[in-house]
Amino acid sequence: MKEKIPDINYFDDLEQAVFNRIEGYKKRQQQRKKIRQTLVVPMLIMLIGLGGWVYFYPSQNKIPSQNEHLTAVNLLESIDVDESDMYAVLQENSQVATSATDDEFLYYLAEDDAVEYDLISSK
Amino acid sequence: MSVEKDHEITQLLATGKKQEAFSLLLKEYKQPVYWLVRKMVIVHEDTDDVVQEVFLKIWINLKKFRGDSKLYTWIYRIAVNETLNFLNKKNKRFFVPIDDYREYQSKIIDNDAFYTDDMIEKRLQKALLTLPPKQKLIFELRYFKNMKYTEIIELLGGSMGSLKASYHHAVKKIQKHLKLEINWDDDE
Repeated sequence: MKEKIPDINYFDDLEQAVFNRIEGYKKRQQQRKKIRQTLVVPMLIMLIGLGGWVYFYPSQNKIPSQNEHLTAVNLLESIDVDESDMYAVLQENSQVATSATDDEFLYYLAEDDAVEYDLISSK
Repeated sequence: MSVEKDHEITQLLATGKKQEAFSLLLKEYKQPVYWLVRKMVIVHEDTDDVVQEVFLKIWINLKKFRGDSKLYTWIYRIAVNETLNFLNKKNKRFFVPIDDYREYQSKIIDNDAFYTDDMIEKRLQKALLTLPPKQKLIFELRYFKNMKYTEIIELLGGSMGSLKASYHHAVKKIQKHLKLEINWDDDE
C-alpha cells in the first residue's frame, strides 16, 4: 500500500507532542512526590500518634484497676462521714463507682480488706 | 532506523546520556512506529494518541533497556502491546460497541487520503477489520512487513505452531471475506 503522510509537518509536531507529554509526566511525578512529602508523611505520623494514644490512653470504660479502687477507699477513709452515707460517698467520689456496676463495685471492695464487705452489702 | 543508529543510541544510554539517546531514538523511530500503529488502528487521531503513549513508555523505561534484545524489537514490542491494549479497550467499552468502531474505521478507509483509491487495497483493509486484533497484527507483520516468523515471535511471544496457525486462519478469513464481497458485487 502506498503510504501517504497525514500532514507535511505532522512528524515534527509529533516529536514536540511527545516531549510535551514527557514534561507533563515529569511534572505529575514531582507533584506526587510533593504530595507524598507534604501530606502523606505527616498523615502517617499523625495516624501513628493517634494509634499510640488510643492504645496507651486509659479508656473511661475500662474495668477499674485495684489501684483506682484503693484510691477510692483511701479517699473514703480520709472523709469523716456517717456510715449510712458511705455507699453514696463512694459512688460520688470514686471512679470505680461511676464506671462499674454495683456488683462489680462490691466485688472489688470485697477483695480488699480496707472496707468490710458486710458493711457495704448490708445496705 | 538502522543498525548503526541503534548502536549509537545504546552507546549513549550506556554512558548515561538518556536525553540525547531518547532524542535520537524518537527521530529514528517516530515514522516506523507511527505506520505500524496506523496500520492497526486506522484512525489517525487515535494513532497519534497511541504513538505518544508508546514514546512516553519508552522514555520511562529507557533506563531498564539492557540490550538483551535488539533495540527495534524492544520498541516494536512496546508499540504492539500498546496498540493491542488500545484496540481491546475500544472493543470492551460498552458505549462504543465493537461494530461501531469497526464501522468508523471502515469509513476512514473509504474517505481518508491515506488510503489510495485502489479498490482492491480498500477491500483488503476492510477484510482486515474483521480479524481479531492479534490475528490482524500477525497478518500485517507477515504480509505487509515481510517479517519472519522468528522475528514475529520475538515481538509477540508464543510458539511457532500457534503463530503459523493464526496466520493461516487470518488468510482464510480474508479470502472468505473477499470472495463474499466479489460475489455481492457480481449480484448487483
